[in-house]
Amino acid sequence: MRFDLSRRTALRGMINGAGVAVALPLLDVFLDGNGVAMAATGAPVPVRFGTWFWGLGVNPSRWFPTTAGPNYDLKPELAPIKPFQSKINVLGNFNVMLDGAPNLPHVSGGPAIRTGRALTADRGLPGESFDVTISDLIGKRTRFSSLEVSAIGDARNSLSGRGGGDLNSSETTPAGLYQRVFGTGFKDPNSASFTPDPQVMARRSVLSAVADQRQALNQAVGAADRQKLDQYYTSVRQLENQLDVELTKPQPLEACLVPRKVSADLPVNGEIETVMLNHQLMTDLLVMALACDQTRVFNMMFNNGASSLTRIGSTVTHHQLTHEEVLDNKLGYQPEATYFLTKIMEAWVYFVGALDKVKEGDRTLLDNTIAFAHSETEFAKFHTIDNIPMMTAGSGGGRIKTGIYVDGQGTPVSRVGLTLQQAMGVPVDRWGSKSMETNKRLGEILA
Amino acid sequence: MSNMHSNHDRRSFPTGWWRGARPVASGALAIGLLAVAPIAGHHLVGGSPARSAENPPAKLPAPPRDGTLGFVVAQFVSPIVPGNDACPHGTAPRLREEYLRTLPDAEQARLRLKDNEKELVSRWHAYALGPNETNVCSQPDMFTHTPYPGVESRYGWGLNLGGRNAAGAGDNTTCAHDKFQSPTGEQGIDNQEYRATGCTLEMRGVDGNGGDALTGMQQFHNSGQWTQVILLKGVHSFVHQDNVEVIYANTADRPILDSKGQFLPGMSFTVNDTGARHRNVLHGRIDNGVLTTEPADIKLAQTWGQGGPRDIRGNRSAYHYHKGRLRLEFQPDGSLRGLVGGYRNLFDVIVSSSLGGEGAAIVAGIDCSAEMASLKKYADGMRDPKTGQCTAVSSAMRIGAIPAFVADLPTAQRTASR
Amino acid sequence: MKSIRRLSSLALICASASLLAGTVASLTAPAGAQGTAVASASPIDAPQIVAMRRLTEAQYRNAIADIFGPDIKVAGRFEPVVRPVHELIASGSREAAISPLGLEQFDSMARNIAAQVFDEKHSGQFIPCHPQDNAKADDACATATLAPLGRYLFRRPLTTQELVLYVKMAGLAAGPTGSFNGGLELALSAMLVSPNFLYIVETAQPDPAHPGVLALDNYSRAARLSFTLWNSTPNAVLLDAAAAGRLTDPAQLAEIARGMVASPRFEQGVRAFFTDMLLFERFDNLSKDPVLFPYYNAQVGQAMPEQMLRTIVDELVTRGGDYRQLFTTNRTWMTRALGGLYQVPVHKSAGWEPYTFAPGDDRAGILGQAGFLAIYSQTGRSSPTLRGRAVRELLMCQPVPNPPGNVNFTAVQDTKNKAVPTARIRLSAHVTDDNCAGCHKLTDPVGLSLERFDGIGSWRTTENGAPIDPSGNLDKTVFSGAAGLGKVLAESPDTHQCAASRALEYARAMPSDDDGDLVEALDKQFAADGYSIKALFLRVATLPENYQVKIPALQTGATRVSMANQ
Repeated sequence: MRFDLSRRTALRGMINGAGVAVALPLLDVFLDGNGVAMAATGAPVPVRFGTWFWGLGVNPSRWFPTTAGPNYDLKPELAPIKPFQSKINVLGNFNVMLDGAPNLPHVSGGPAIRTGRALTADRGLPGESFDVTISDLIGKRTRFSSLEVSAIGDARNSLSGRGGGDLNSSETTPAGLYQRVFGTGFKDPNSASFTPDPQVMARRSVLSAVADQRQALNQAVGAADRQKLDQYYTSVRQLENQLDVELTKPQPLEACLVPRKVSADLPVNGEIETVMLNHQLMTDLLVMALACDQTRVFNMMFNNGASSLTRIGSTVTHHQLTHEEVLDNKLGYQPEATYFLTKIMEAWVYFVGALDKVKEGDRTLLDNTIAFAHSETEFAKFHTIDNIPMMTAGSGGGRIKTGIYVDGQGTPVSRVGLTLQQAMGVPVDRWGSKSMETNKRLGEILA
Repeated sequence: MSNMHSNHDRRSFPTGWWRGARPVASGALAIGLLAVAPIAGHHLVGGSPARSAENPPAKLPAPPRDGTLGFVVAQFVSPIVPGNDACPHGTAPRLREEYLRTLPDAEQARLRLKDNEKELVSRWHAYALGPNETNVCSQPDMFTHTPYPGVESRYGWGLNLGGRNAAGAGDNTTCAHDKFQSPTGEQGIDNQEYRATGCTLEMRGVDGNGGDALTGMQQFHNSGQWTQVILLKGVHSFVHQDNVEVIYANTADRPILDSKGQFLPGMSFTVNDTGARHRNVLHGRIDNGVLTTEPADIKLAQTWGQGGPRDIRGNRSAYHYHKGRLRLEFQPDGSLRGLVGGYRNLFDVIVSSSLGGEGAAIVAGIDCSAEMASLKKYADGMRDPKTGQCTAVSSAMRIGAIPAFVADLPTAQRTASR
Repeated sequence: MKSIRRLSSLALICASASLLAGTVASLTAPAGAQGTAVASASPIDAPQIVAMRRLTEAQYRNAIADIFGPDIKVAGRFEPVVRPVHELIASGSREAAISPLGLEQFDSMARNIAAQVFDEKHSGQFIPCHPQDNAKADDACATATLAPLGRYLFRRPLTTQELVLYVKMAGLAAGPTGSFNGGLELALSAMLVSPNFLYIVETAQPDPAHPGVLALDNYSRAARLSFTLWNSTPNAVLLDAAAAGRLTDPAQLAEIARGMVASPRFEQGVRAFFTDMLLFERFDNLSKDPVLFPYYNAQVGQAMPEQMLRTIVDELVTRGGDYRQLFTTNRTWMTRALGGLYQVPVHKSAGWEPYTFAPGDDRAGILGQAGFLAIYSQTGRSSPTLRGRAVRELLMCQPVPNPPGNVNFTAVQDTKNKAVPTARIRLSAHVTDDNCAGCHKLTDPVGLSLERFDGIGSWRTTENGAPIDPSGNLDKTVFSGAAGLGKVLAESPDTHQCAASRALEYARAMPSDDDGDLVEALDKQFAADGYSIKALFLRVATLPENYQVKIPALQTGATRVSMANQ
């Protein structure tokens, strides 16, 4: 397609990467909006977003840190994250306000976190989940706008969708995920051809039109206003340059290594050992899907809300245990049910570690990602949905600060969704509905 | 709208009996909790619900100028006397264990082997299930399971509901039963609900100091789904006052809780008597700082979550106290503490588990049939003149109420009060 | 013309480059280049741009709602207009630049708005014609659509060049998007990020009657009236009046202004004025320790500024009351959540209801309201100093200097020390330091009278068990409590003169410091009008000086306005 991108473009003899061609100082051009340097390749490293879900919460007093802020204390159940603590934020004490809507056990909490709304039907989502909103923004140009994966092997195990019963169903097996991403239709990004995004080209032409008005204004302004205009046009140029980079063929993705085929004979069931293995395999595939820029958004479901995890040889499920096993007043928790939580945290740490192993320039894939982990209840025995445990891992290319425990002090959980969307560049200043409508972002972590 | 009376430091209120309790935005109905039964001991609340003669009222605030006082009930839980004396043989077994106990020892041992786990599961499930999709919790009467063990100690909290019949011998409206005495020495207490259910794991907990039901009960209450208010009219003296009108009612207003999930004093609530909500008008007197009401039917909302159309949850039940009465003590900090007592229909006691149905039985392992059998065994009130059987149990709930502005319904809007 | 464009474009690149490289930015360099190109054609008496005021978030939102309807959502983060010290945000809008991040946000909001305007649901309202082919460009129909929208957005008719540019853009984009509407969408996005929309561009020309003074032209007057009185963009009536030249005629201008202050929309203007004057941006980041202040929660935080604004609007607009009553009235508005903080009954389960404090209650006027008391407090305690300073600076226009950088605040912050139980005692220890005493004498005796209200404005009579002494003094006047302070404020001439001065600053977007005589005269009229806020704003809106700009000493670069055909 052809846009008359403006005379100035022609002037600069734009072929590839106009910004560089005109030899503009690189100082600002190669900083993104938040002042974070792009990787050494000269092209912006994509920023990824994803979620990691686990069911049945935690034992609050054994998981949540006591003191808010950086260098938070690690209670026994959170201790496994220690190697990555500086890259992980813990979010606590945020409330789900239902405004009289039912608290459907294991059902209401997850959608509230993802949509900022109370679920009134007894299934589906009450609105668009914010991972979808983010993928609309950053996932349009990749082969998959997002990838959904269920380690427990349930296709309906998903909290991602546009609202109502329309859920993005999950891949249920490692082999299926391999086939989908790296099977037929996979093009090695390092050899594929490049087509500029028409949307970006359109935006680029808008800015050119704006720039064209400069002269008219300049002719009539005084010195003070001209200074302001200069700043404005500097901003326009910076935005133009960002878009120019997007319109340029990207540098090779060094971290992209096409993985080996995965066996289709692996069992899929609720036994914790199976789920751990499948989670590991699927994580490895997902990580490569990100490194090879096949998607920039993902949703990993470790288990389901009313968790059907079991131990080999036992018929008692994780969910059953949380209700049946009596709270040991001396221990203060349910030892049997807590076994599963230990495994869940182990899996989360594996996931974070897998992202962190992949180098992108002088950073890691984790650094260029925001992975948002959350559950659907605080304490499963009572189905409490305030203070649902949540974490983020990675800084999204410096968009959020990390290593902090944020105490929400009973404010709506929608603040988390709002903040993460803003961090990912979604133009939203207010999110959620009724008591969960909020414009208060988490200043503690937003860089 | 009622006025609050004193200028106390409002932050000093012990508004939460369980420090770990967090607010629940809406009723969180745990399947396991269906067996909701409270626990809550006085050790958590502090102070005795009954003010004995040797224990005269501490300094009380001046009575309100207009004789009107408003309160919101911040605490509403079943009282248990903590400790292991109550249940010397331990707590009631789970269904699985209960089933095993019905078998000869050798068979029990065989089934307990790990290799036979699957067989055991299918057999104890079968023990919980009946024909045509029935189960022990939805249809407890269809099963004849052994009653749960009752409380064996003589200590319990509650009210003396049969004043003249201090020994619990039974008469034309009641059935013979053992009375409790309170840990503070009060005699003649009727609380057969506690007798029947005080040894369930949900009530007693593993350490004897209280189980999940207590926590769950308070969480339901904090969720605002059955918020209760108390409005007193005609209070001109805390020492002696006849003819106090007591409006004990539900409100549709959800409480605004502090960041720790505690009720806050001095908030406003509007009485509501439509739908599942109730407005009880009681009459009482104050003696020595203690308000006591005359026996009357007391009905209060009891909603177990607000379920969707396909859900079992919703406005399904009520706290219904036959011959119910309040005994509440005025506290120096302006709050009220005490008990509501009366006779409850047997089925009402297990309605929560029963609504849970198969889930309560299979997932939480609750044997509603055994619990029902126990309730029948200890039933002491509402004697059926034809059968001679008692159809209700004496019961009590602990109440903690803090000052609030209560807007009563305008006279014209009150629907016919029972 | 083309060659000039080329030239300026190159100049732009050079300028940007030098700016970016951090070399000395000769800001006049590109202007110089242009100056050479056009100077000869520029008569000295031609209109010129005298101010560019960046739209505030509220103005942007109001403008979009007024132009496109309230169902077009504006979603995005606004780069805030920075408040200059001791001035209004309105004055800051003159200085506000747009950073790259700010522009990114405006760009994304613009695309979002444009997509909504030309979507299936809404486009019918804005496209007055049928394109020949929905999938193709149609310059005539695009012109018919974009010209009226441009007039609203730029607050003046588009110039011929501008219109041609946007229509061309729509045409070029219609092809690749395969949609006529898609083309319009792109053109509208471009308008919405244009400086002509994001800035209120005020133009003026020499006033033959007043040598040395420029007078704002008709369209600039329309904008000034509209943003001052309604905090929104001029509507069709105002733009028509401007087109007809009615706004440079004092009598016709006054008639229009009278209509505007009588309109229900004036409330929006009054709210915006007080939001600016009372520094309500502090509510955006208000944070209170939930353990110390259990009655503070999100609902209370949202209700606090609204309670103050409702009180202000009720007293000053609805009741047409005396401005000074703001400091003495016992009337206010309550919600259930606020009722807890105030410990008063609230009958309605939801929404607002009027409430009157009993006679003798210390909750007098807006100084006794939780919002004021909370934003001039710290996170975990009250602050007599902040409160006193706010009274002086905001309500009496008496600036108080900042503390020096090296002060030891430990004594004041030690709120749990029983040896120094009250703020009065803690502050008196602090103020023994001579460096601090001078300013604290101005602020603390005022703020200490409000000490019976804690860090969120809840009533208390003791602190750490010690009784609170609510006595205070303002200069030589001694009083007690919020009611006492309110009465003193209501009686002080500085209070109403400050309001008059702020109103003038608000309209002109510059401080009135150098216009002492003008403010005094305005204050006299304010008194004559019974301190009516409607009358004050009407006076400001019809003041000839409101539309005059003194010609600055140096007018080198600015020569001629090119958006002529108005």
